[in-house]
This record gives sequence, C-alpha cells and structure tokens, in this order.
Amino acid sequence: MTSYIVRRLLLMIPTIFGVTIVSFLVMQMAPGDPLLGHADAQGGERETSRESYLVQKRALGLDKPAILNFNDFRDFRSRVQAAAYFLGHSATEIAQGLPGLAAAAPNTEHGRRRAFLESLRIPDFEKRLRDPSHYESLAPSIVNFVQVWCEDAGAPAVPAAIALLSDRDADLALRRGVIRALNHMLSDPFIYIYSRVPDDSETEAVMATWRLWWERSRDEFAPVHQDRREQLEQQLKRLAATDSRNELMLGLEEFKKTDAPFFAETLLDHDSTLAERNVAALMLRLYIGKPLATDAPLAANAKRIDRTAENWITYYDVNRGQYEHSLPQKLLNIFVDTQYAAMVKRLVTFNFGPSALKTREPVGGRIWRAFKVTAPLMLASEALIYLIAVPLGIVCAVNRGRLLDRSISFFLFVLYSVPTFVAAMILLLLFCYGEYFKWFPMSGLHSEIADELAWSPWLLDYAWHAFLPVVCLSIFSLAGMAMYARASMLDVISDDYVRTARA
Amino acid sequence: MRPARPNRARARLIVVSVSIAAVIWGAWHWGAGASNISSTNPEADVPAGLTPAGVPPAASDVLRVSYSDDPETLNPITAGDATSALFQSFVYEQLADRDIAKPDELLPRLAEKWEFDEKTLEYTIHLRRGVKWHPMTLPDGTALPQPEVTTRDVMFTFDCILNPNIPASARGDFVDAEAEDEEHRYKIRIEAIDDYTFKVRWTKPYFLSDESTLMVAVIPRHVFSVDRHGDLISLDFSSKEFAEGFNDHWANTRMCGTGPMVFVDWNRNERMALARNPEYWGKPFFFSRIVFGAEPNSYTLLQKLLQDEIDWADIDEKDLYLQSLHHPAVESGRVVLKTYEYPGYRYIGYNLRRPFLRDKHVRRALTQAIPIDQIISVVFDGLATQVTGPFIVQSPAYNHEVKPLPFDLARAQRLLDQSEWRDTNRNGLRDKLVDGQRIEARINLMIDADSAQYLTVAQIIQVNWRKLGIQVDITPAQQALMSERTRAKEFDAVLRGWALSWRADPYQTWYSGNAELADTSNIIGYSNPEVDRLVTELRVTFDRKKQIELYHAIHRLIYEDQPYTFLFSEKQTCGYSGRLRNVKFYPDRPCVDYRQWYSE
Repeated sequence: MTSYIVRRLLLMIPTIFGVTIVSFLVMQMAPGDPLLGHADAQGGERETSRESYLVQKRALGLDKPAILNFNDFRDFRSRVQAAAYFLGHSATEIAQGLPGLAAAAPNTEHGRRRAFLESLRIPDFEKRLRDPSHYESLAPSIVNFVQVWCEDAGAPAVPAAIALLSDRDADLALRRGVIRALNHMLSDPFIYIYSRVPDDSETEAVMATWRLWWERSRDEFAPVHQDRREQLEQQLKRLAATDSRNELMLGLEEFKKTDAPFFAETLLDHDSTLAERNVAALMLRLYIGKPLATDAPLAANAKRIDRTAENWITYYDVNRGQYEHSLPQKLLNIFVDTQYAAMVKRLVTFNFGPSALKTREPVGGRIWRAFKVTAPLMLASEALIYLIAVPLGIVCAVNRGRLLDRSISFFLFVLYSVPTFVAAMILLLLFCYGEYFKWFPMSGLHSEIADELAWSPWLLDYAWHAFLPVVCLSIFSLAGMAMYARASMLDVISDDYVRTARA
Repeated sequence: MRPARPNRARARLIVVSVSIAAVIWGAWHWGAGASNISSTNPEADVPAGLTPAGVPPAASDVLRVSYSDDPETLNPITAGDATSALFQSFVYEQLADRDIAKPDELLPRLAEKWEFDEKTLEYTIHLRRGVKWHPMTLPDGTALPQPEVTTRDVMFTFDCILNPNIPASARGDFVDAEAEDEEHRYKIRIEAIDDYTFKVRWTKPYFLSDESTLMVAVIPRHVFSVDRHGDLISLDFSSKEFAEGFNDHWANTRMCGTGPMVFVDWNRNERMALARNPEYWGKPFFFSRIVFGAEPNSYTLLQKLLQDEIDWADIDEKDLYLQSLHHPAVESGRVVLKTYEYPGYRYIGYNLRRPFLRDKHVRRALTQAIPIDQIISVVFDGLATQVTGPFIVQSPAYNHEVKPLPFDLARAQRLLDQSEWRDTNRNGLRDKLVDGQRIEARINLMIDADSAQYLTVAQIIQVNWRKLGIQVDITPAQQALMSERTRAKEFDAVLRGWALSWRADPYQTWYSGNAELADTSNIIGYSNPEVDRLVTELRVTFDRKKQIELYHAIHRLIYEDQPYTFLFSEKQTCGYSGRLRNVKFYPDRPCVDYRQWYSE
C-alpha cells in the first residue's frame, strides 16, 4: 500500500511538469504583450509610457527568455557596437551617413551596421534606405528602434558594452553611444545604500560608489569643524544603535549637506561598523542625491564621457558576478534563468510573488481569498451530489426497466447534456430575473446588510445566495454520479451471493 | 472615465488615446494673456451645508452603481483605467478640476487659486487651508495621524510622478522628449514657497500646461511614504529604493484622499463601498453611502436596473436598451432610460505605407463608397452621430464647416479611374502598375472579434467596396492581436475607435515624426507637412481664438487627406432609477456629475 502511494505521488511530478509546460506554452502562443494588452482592454485614458512599461516588465521578469536562455552564449559585441554608433550620433549625422549605409558591402563596418538595422524590423527600412528623400524621417526611427533594441537586450548585453567602453582609444562618439546604450539596458543600477536589512556583502558596492564620488568632490567641501564633528559622532552612534527606522529617518533630517565629508569618511573608514556605514550611506544619498552621472548627452565633452565611463566601469567591476558567469553557471542558466523556470519555482514553493496588477498584492493572498469563496460552494455541491445521486441511482436500479427508472434516467440524461454556463443562464432567467419567478438574488454572495446580521440569519442569507450556484455546479456531476450508482447497484444486485440471499 | 462599463467588448473597442492631452480630462482655460487667473468658487451661491444641487444631504441614503472590470489599482499615481478613475473621483481631489458644465474652465479644488505668468511660464499655486486627509489605519490596525494638506503632500506627489522607477500615468506630460541628458529630463521645476504656496515653472511652453500642472490628484505623504509597519520607506522620494516600496505599497488597495467620500472597503470582483466624509471642506455629497457592485454580465445588469436593485448603469448593448424601452418599469417612470453623446469616435484607419492606400483619391473613393447614414440608422438604430474629424463634436475645436463626403458609388468609381486603378486583366479587381509591380486592389479589414455590430458594419463596407472592384477580406481579431499587428504596422485597414479628451493634443496621432517610431499612435503613417506645422504651432499657442483657428485648420486638412474614414461617434445609452433627481448630461467625460444628484 505504502509503495503504491509513493509511486502515485512520484508519478505526479512528471504529470505536473507536463501540465505546466503545456499551459505555459499555450500562454506564450497567445498574441500580444500581457502588459500592453491589459492597458488596452481596460480602455482607460492613460497609456502606459515606455518607461513604466519597462519598469513593470523587468520587475515581473518578463524580459527573460521564455523557456531556454542562451544569452550567456550570445555574442552581443558587434550589435552593441552598431547600436552605440547610432546612439552616439545625432539624427542629422545619421541621416548624412545613410548614403554610405545604402551602398555598403557586407562584412564592412557599414555592412554590419546595416545588417543590424535590418534585424530591427523598422517598417519599410529597405525601401526608405533606397530613397534619399526619406532619410530625414528614417534617421529618428533608426534611433528609436535601436533604443528599443537596447531595452529589450537588457543586462545580457552589458558585458559587451563595458568591453567597448573600456577601450580608451575608441572614438568619442562611440563611447558616448555605449554609455547611452547602457542607460537603455539598465535603469540606474548603481548601488548607493544598503538594503532594508543591511548586509556586509553590500559594503563593497556601496563603498565603491561613494569612494569614486568622494575622490572627485573632496575639494568642493570645507572640512567639518571639530565641535560639529563631535556632535555628529554622537548622533551617528545614536542612529547606528537605534532599531526604529522612523527614528533613523527623522535623525537623518537633522543633518546638513556640509556634514557630508564626515559621513564620507565614516563610510570609507575601515573601522566603521556596518550600522554606522548604513547611516552614512543613507545620509549621503539623502543630501547628495545621485553622486555619479550615468548618462551622457550628445553634446557631452571628452571629460564628461571619460568620467561617466569610469563610473560604469567601476560599477561593473564591483558587480561583475551579476553579469559574467562561470561555465557551469552558464549551462545552468540555460534552464534556470527563464520565465518558465521562474513559474515552476513559484509553483513548487507556493510563493507566487506579487501580482502583475498594479497593486502588486501577493498572489497567494488573492488565491486564498478566492479559495474561501469557492471551497464552501464546491463542498456543498459535492454533498448535494452524493445526497441525491446515490439514492436516485438505487431507486433506478431497484426499479430497473420500469417507467420510474426510465423517466429518471431520461431526466438525468437531459441534465448531463446541459453545460454549466447554459444551466446558469436558464436558472437566472427562471428564478432570478422575475420574468417567471423571483425567488433568488441575481448576484453576490451576501446581502448588503449581511455584516449586521447574527450568525443564524447570516447563514440563511448565505444559503439563499449560494443555492442556485450550488445547484448549477452540481447538475452535471449529479447526473453522472447517479448513473454510476445505478450501474454499480445493478452489478451488485445481479451477483450470485445477492441472488442466493434473496432466494 | 465612464460611470460604469458593463460590457467588455466595448471597453476593448474604444482604444486608448495616447495623445498627451488624453492623459487628463480637459478643460480649456482659454485665457488669452493667461495671467492672474483667480478662481471663484462655483458653488458659492449655494448656502453652506447644502449639496451642490441646493438640497440638504440625506441622513441615510445609498447610491447603488455598478461596474464591470475591477480596477488594476486604487493608487492614483499608477492607475490608468476607467474604473479606478471612477472610484478615485469621489475620494481623491485634484488641485483643480475641469468644470463639467463649462469644460473650457478649471474649477479650484485643493488649490484655492493660482496665477500663471506667460512670460516665465510659471504657475504660482495657493493651496486651500484647513483641508484634512481622511482617517487611515496601517494594515495592523494602528491609526495614522490625520494631518492637513500642505505643499509637502504636493511636492511628494510630484516626486512620485517624476520618479522614473514608478510607473506613473501622468509622467508623460512632463517628460521632455528632446532632452539629451538627465538634468533636463523633465519640463517642470517645482519649488515650495511655504506650507500653502508652491511654484511650478515650465521650461518650455505647452498649451495644455495648465491641465498637466493642476489636474493632478494629490496623495497623502503620511500614508504613501511609510511601509506597512509605519516606518518611512526612504526620505528620498525620487530614489529607486523609494520606488520599490511605493510600487507594492499596502495602500494600493485602499484610498485616503480629501474628497467628499471616504473609502470604506473593497472586495475584489464584488463591491466597493464609500461613505460620506463628514469633514469635507466643500459642499457635501447628497448620498450617505455609495456602493459599487461588480456586474460583468450585461443582461443581469439590465435586470437589476429594471428591478430597482441599482440606481445607475450604462447599457452598452444598444439592442438591450431598445428592447427595454417598453418595459413596464420604464413606462411607469420607475426607471428612466436615456442616451447621451460620448466623446469618442470610430474610424477605419488605412495603412498609408500600402501602395493601394497611399493615394488620397483612392481613400476618398473608399470613404464615398461607405453608406455611413445607412449604417447609423440600420446597425445602430440612429444612436450615433456622423463625424468628420478627430475632435469632440460639441467642443469648439471641432470644425462644423467640414461637410462629410456623400455616399456616391459613381463618384467613387470615377475617382479610382482617375487614379488609374483599372481592371486591366478583367478578373473583376482593379489593379495598377506601381514601382514596376502589378498590384491588385485588395484590402484586409481588421475588426474587433468580440463585436457582432462591427462585423455587420464590416460586411456592409465589404459589399460596397466590392462594387468598386476591390476585394475585401475581413479579419476579426482579438484586442491583443489587433494591437500587435498595428504596432508592427502589419495591416491594411483597421476599424477601431479613439476615446477623446475635451482638449486634444493632435501631436501623438497626427504628427509625422511619430509615424515611424516603435511605439506610436500614428500607426497609419500619416504625414502632412502643413499639419505638422499647425500641430507644432498649436502646442505653443496660449491664445484661445488662435487655438480654435488652428484646430479647425488641422481638422479640415486631415479630412481632405482622408487617412481615416471618419465614421461616427456612438451615443451612450444608460438607465437610472426614477428616484434620482437632477441627472444631467455633459459633453465631456464622465458626462455626468454625481455631485449634483439627489433623490426623493
């Protein structure tokens, strides 16, 4: 018996796997983007902006490949190079370069750029490239589609971009383009503060950001006066020791921007504790804001681009582990770093994460709320099925072949052929709309005043609302179950021992 | 923002207008030298303590309304759907609101008055004093303080809208598309002067800047800045750290505003309950409670209305509406059925990149071969109005001098002949040599798969175009597929609708520069340099008269080009309980003003 149960349970694993993969594939095959589709179906007035669309898409992991992820094995270098070229130049410059692109032979630099653009599915690209009168409008669409490519490529293209950026001899426009491309791939990934519960593993990243800033900005600040320094030390101790986040936050508001050197030193000092560094990082984030530039405008000069490039390279050095993976990790990522794997993980751990709706409620909570409504209805319907079906089956079996059996069987057969949703419409029409009878409510599970009722009238009210739904849920199974009971009963009746007993 | 949306099919058909103007409800404030606009209280002539309709509020009376789709969120910063807008309109208040009776003007709400300096593009806004936030408790039941609305809340609201990691619906209004670096990313600079005064300076002139600045729903800082334990998420509201806490905030499923109604509870897919705010600063709401019941089935909804189980419902299916006109409840006056103009229109959009559809004369011929009058009278039982342009018919922007092209098959044939589309190979279809290729006149017309009415419309068009020698294939498509195809520009013609704002910005849909972008409303690839020039001029014009002239010129030019066949604007049909009084209809959304209603 035990081995049977174990075998059955083990068999469930491949079955569930099969079911999940089929349902996942069906969902993937549906046309349209779930995030965009939703906005349209709501018919609301406000369109999701590209930016907020990306925020949601990345937060939900919808930017990952569906089932297999080969991003670690892809070479993004030539495409990032091409993208950087178009992002590093103005639309006018791009338009001027289009004749060269139109005449480009494959395997030249122009040819590679052209091949890259062809892969972007810009509407009528070939035709517009042939006709110089379209160049003025083609150039902005190129920039736009390249930008979308960078956004879609996301984190996997970052190593290639950093490699290009590290090449100090590269042309200024290209470096500028790479920086702009990086900003489309990641939205400000720099780490300024610790997470809510600080952890020492974050120290390196936090310190790297502020060290770079402090090295450049040290001269802009006057040294903190000794009296103030002592005061700050006390406040720092107090805030580092507190458990109350509100006290910490309000304490931060008492500082001034001129105190920044003290906190920069605290953060970068090797003897500081984690709690002190946390306070220092929060203080700097609040008063300095964004310490490092991430983006470069088209007009940026060499100095600005060098600095921004240095920022990105420093960031990348500290967080290299996120982007460069060892071979086993790469192989594992093929299966693990995908939308499907994420879905299976959520299923197995019963941790369904936040909802894709903008409330971001936990999905588990929503399932539980739906369960609380569904379970009593289903239980009641099962009870009803057995209470009615079994006696009905027995009556039929006992009266086998007689008019009673035939009429009940006919009636059950009719019930069996009515789909639930049709039954629901008929019941609504007969018993709710008042065109024939008005015995039951049209919708809802409770009356408006249900909250004020004592438990027994409350239960009656619930039963009144739930009656038709339960009937509707029961009809189909009831007919099947009664037929089954009838057949089993007939089997038993015709057995030898029953005949003997009756004889 | 329609009062109720009982039918999904329709909700899908009216496709979101992406125009920046559509983001907010409009109200012209046409003021020529738009400075020193001080506002008057519109309800000032009503004695204190009475509702806007001038009657005393009911001691206990519930207004029962229905809705079909649950909102995505109740957070006004990220919400973008019609149902949440409906709920929020009772609880949250904007700095100023469009005057529904005079949509050209803005009514002060949380802002008591404001001044605009056209030279510096600066708004100085004075907040109403003594307005208190509704009571709110943390998820664990701890009551939060109930402070007054100050500039801290307003600054917080703008910080949230402008935080790039928060999917805020209104951010598009403030983003400078031409900005090249982060510092110039936004077109506004906000500065707090004191607790009740702040300034918003625009770096570039924009003709809808008053709406963008003032029609912002203010959210409470003391609620949205703290986590579920009451701890501050972060002090830097523009940071990514804060955005993460804000996006999955515990208050996304509740509401805490300053409006006439207070949030009571919300059960998804069941109901939303609001109660009158006893401390409301303005005229009180007549009803002591509002209960919105979820009702996705349009037939049940109608029955509820006829049996007096709800007080107000939009009836989206015209045949249900017409059937009910002779119901005893309607004839006895217990239920009132009405129609009203709804700001939006249906059109057939032609993909102008297709060789056959590129020619303006061909498109005129196609329009002249559609019996729009017949469609309105037969398919819509007269419950629609023919339109000739992309603006609200009742608004001053609409050019009534543009007369619709008449239905004339002979004229259409001649137009096609003149454009040299002729049946040269005698196969019954017109054809023409374009760029060395013989192209036949075939059109694939994509329509919404969920609407039987639009299938009939498409079939009428199919028959008539066939008479011209054009093969029409009808593709019914679900909304998702339709969006995917139109985004990829892979379609010939599509039958869709736009919802409209009172003050529209034609830039997104009609400016040629948007035609070839990845995400665009100009899906058809419309390009007319003169329209571009007028649209660009309109966007920086503050003078009312000049604006109307520009709108009219744009309307005329677009109609001449026929990039769309403008069909009609469907009337909305609705029903309400005979006990409701003072139910009036207005040309701009939400088309009704609940604050004016009362019962007997």
